[in-house]
Amino acid sequence: MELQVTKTIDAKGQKCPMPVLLAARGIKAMSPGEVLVIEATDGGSRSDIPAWARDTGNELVESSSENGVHRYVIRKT
Amino acid sequence: MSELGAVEGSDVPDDENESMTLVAWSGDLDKIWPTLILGSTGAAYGMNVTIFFTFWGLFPLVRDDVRITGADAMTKALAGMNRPGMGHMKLSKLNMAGLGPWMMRKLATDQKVAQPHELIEMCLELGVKLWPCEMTMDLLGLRRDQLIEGVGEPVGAATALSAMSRSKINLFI
Repeated sequence: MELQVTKTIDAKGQKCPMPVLLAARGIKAMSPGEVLVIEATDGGSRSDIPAWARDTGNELVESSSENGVHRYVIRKT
Repeated sequence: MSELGAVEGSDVPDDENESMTLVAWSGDLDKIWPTLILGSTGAAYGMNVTIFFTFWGLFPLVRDDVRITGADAMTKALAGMNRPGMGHMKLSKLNMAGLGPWMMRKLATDQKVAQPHELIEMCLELGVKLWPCEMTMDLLGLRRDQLIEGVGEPVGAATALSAMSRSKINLFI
């Protein structure tokens, strides 16, 4: 999937709730349609980021895990 | 590499943001900390979050460089025995004359858990309203200029209750 990524946030190493807080802060400054990538190693982010994206009305386009790094692609709506 | 695929957009209407009001009554590290976690995460969720600081909960709002607060001998002695500031909070148990909080903060640093001062900055950036209780500020001898930047105007119980009556989540911590 080819997506124009607007912003990438590195939340690797940070624990709950920081990945969600950093994602929220990041997406606040973006425009609808723009794409945010957030990378985290916190296992809680696997449930937290999808739940946060859904509940805030943003679209989780894709999520993947590789070598302990969880990567989430979120489109602001 | 695992794919979870697309997730449906939320059906929560944007114009009906839910509200949460937290009453920060305790000034203990192990109570202010989760209060700030819930407050900042609520704001990240798009909620209107208000934290109403009262009684012991006011002391962590005092700037760390303010050593003594108080308007008279009694309120000054109070600050002397209960050092104000986010960096001087005690644990509600296992305080061990400050060793407990030091260990807690060390564990948090080692494990990259966000500390209270980072969380309060995040709260402010995400629009959490931090309301100090006016009556207890007067009672305990705390002045507005001694509090950290970003704290709102001191308010009364009625203002806090008004926010609580409109909140779906209300917690007294």
